[in-house]
Formats: sequence, C-alpha cells, structure tokens
Amino acid sequence: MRLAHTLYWSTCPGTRRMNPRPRQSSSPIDPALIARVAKGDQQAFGQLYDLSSTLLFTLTLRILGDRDEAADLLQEIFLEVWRKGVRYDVGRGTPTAWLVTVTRSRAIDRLRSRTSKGYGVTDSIGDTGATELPDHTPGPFEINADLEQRALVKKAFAELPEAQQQALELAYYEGLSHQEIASRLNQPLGTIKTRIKLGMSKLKDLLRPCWEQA
Amino acid sequence: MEHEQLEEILPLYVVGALDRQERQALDAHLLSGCPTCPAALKEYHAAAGLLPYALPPNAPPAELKAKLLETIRAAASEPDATQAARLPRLKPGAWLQHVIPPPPSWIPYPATALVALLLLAGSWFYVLSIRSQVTTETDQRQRMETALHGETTRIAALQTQVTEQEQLLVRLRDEVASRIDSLAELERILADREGELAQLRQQLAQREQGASSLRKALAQRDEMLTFLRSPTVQVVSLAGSDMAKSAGALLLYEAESKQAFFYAFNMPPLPAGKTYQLWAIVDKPVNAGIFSTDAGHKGRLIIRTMPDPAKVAKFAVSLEPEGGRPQPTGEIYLAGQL
Repeated sequence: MRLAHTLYWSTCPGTRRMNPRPRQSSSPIDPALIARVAKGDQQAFGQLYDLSSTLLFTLTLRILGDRDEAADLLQEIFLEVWRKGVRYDVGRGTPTAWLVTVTRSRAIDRLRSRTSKGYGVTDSIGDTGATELPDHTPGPFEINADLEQRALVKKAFAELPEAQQQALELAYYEGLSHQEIASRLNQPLGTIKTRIKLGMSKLKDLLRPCWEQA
Repeated sequence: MEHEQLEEILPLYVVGALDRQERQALDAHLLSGCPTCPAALKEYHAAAGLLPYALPPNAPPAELKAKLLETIRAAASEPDATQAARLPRLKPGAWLQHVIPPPPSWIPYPATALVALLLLAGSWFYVLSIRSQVTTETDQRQRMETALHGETTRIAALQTQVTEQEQLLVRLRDEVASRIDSLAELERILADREGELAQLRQQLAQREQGASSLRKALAQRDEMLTFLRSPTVQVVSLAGSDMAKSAGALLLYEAESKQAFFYAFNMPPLPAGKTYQLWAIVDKPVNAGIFSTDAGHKGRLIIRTMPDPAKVAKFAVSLEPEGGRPQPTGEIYLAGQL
C-alpha cells in the first residue's frame, strides 16, 4: 500500500510527476481539500491534519519551545480551520503557505503575550528547547515528496550567508521587527533590512519551482 | 511612501519584520489596487511559507488527532449557530405546525380552517411587507458598503500622505541640524576674525602714533627748509668756550618774519636736572629759549620773535638749572656775534 506513495515525486525542480497524486501525500495540499473541510467534511479534515500537522507542529514548537504549549496551540488552530475554513482565499497563495502564515502569526501572538507576562526570551536558535527534543521519526504519511521538499528548502536556506539566516530567523521565529533585530545584534538598521531583503529574494528565486509547478 | 519603496519592503512584510506604521502603509498600498505588488507578495508569501521545512521535523503528540476528531464530532452532534447549515431539514409541511399550533380538540374543524385561512392571509401580507423592507435594507447596505469602500480608500490615501509628511519632517530636521552645525562653524570663524581685527586695530593705533611723530618731524623740516630758502636769511655762528671746545652753533635769522632757527652741535651731554639756555645780549642778557641735546649731541631751537641780530651785541649759551633762569647763572658754553 505505502509503496505507491513513494512513487509520488516532488513537484520541485529536477523531478517530475510519475503518477497521479495519492490520497495521502504530504505536500502540496490541494485547495479542494480545504473547500471540503469548509463544508464540514470530517474525513477531509482528518486528511488535512495528516498532511500538515507535522509541519505546523514543527513551526509552533520552534517558536514556543514547549511541546505541551505547541500542541495546545496546534489544536486551537485546527479547530479554527474547521470552523472558519472558508476564510482561505486561493488568490492569496498555496494552502500550505496560508496554514503556515496563520500558525506562525498565532504562535508569535502567544510568544508575545508570554513575554509580556515576564517569561524568558530565547536569544538564539541553539537555545531553543526544540533542538533538544528527540529526533523526528518519519510518520506514516511522510513520503518522498515531503522529504524532497524538506531537503530542497534546507539546502536553499543553508546557501544563504549566516548573517542573513540569523536575521530571517529572528524575524520569522522570534517575531522581532527590523529595529528590534538591529538593536539585538547591535547592527545598523539598513544592514538588517538589506540582509532580510537579500535573503528572501534569494529564497524566492531558489524555491519558485516548488509553487510554480504546484 | 512611494510604490518603489513599498515594493522594496515586501520581503520584510512576509517575515513580520516591519513596524506597525510601515505595515499599515503597505496594507493601504495593496488595498489601493497596485498592479504589481500583490503578485510579488504572493511569491514572497509562498517562499516564507516554506521556511519551516528547513527545521528538523517534529511530529505532534499521537493522541492529538483523535482528540481533535472527537471534538469536532461532538460539536457536529450539538446543533449550534456555526453548524446551522448542516442541521437536518424539517419534514415537508412540518413548518406549518410552528406557525399554527394544532387546534385543541374542543374547536370544530370548520372554525379551525377559517382561523387558519385568516392567519395564512395575514402571514402572506406580513411576508410581502418584510420582503420590501429587506430589499430597502439591502439597498441601504450596498450604499453603505460603497461609502465604506470610499472611506477606506480615502484613509489609505491619508495614511500615505501622513507617511510622506513624516519623511519630509525627518529630512527637514536633518537639514536644520546640518545648518546649525555650519552656523556654529561660521560663529567660530567670526570669533577668530574679530580677534585678528582687534590685533590689526592695535597695530594701526601704534602706526598712527608713529605717523603722527613723523608728520611733526616733517613739519619741522618743512619749516626749516622754507626758512633756509629765504633770501633775507642772516647767519650768526657761535663757537665753543673752554667748557666745550669742539662744540659750535649756527643761528639763522630771517628778517621779514623775525623768526630764528638755532642749531648747536657737539654739545657735552647735559647733567641731570640741567638745561642749556640761549641768551641775546642787547644791553643786558635776554632769554631766547631753552634746549636739550639729543643722542648725537645736537640741540635745536626755534625762536618765533627774534630781535634784529644787528642790534644784538652777542649771543651766548649757558648751562642752567632745569626750566631756565631769567638771568644767566651758569658757565658759558657757546658765544658768537654777527
């Protein structure tokens, strides 16, 4: 049964689609699936969970650094998608990008409210609880397409100079504004803006095939 | 902010690195119907959406899915507002029972039918009036939505304007700061120049003093030159006595102006508190003036009104106490006659 999944090739460059998309491929998510969830299809909801929960949990855990809190937030987000799934707009991006945007924004909100309540703040990526957790074992739905996508994004990100990676991570995962990053790193504001711009432009160029073919 | 500036900050927008003001300006720009920014934004969004794929993957707790499915099933079985669309429909005709409750058994059927008919007619008029009201309200709502859209666009334009004004203010502030700097520099230069000017004034005062003494000396020379050029000048020479053997003097007399110029040379230096005094001896010695000597042992004297030398028996110079005396009291140093 699972063998069929491994025949589904990534939509990213250098690969091509060999057979129709299997029912439970990890990525990308079909906009029609979101539409079914919006209509109250519980089975579609289960599929959406299988396809996106690992990515979204990875994200919430990276931002919040606490498994229980990350799981709590993930549950909240999926319930919100169930209730308000209709809010997804095809014109504004891929379903994955939409889910990631919603999740990141909710996690950053939670991080900020926690910071304002006097919790500690993580200073660099090496300090997060996420990296201390046991390594991920591929789930039943994690297949070649997902692994290849991961490898491609990882490679593209690693191609950026370290300073650009750091600026992007502080903005994206710590929720810091360019001014906050500049004062945190003791660098001129213009330098930080340039790092983010260059980093994102390069990522956009390197990863474009991922969404163009999707 | 201009379109180019806003397009530049799109990458910062998708990673959440903009401050509130920039974010609002960009939102307003996107709402204003920019033809290129939404497409670029979509791509940046897609790229940012892939970022978590670079993280080491972590699966959520296994029980989470079951918990979620259970929650949504429980919610689906409890009818609520959000799931209203998914409620089972009423049986055909059942709705009438909600409008007209079944009649009590003591009312006969024709009466029930009449009441039902009247109620039905009443309801029909009610429905018609509600429908016209709904139409009016829908129109009103559409008008309000249009107005709201207009207002939103106006607010967006105002926000852009405010942002531009703020930038202008910052630029002006910078300019004022630089002007203040150059003003301070000019003040410093001015202070330097004033110092120089004061020095120059001092020098000028000294020069004027020198020039005034030179002018005085020049005037004396002129006077003497005029004096010497006159054809009526007479010369009396005076010779040194034993007191000053090498000394001598000349007295030049100009008859027309009755002026005389006396010039002595090789005079011995004056002892302290002493002066030389010139005498014209007619019947008795008459004071003709006092003089001192300069570094070259020379003495000069101008006599404004001089008696005719022809009537003067003798000219003599004696050493007298400072200020001179009415009659000679000291030694004679020079003597001579016409």
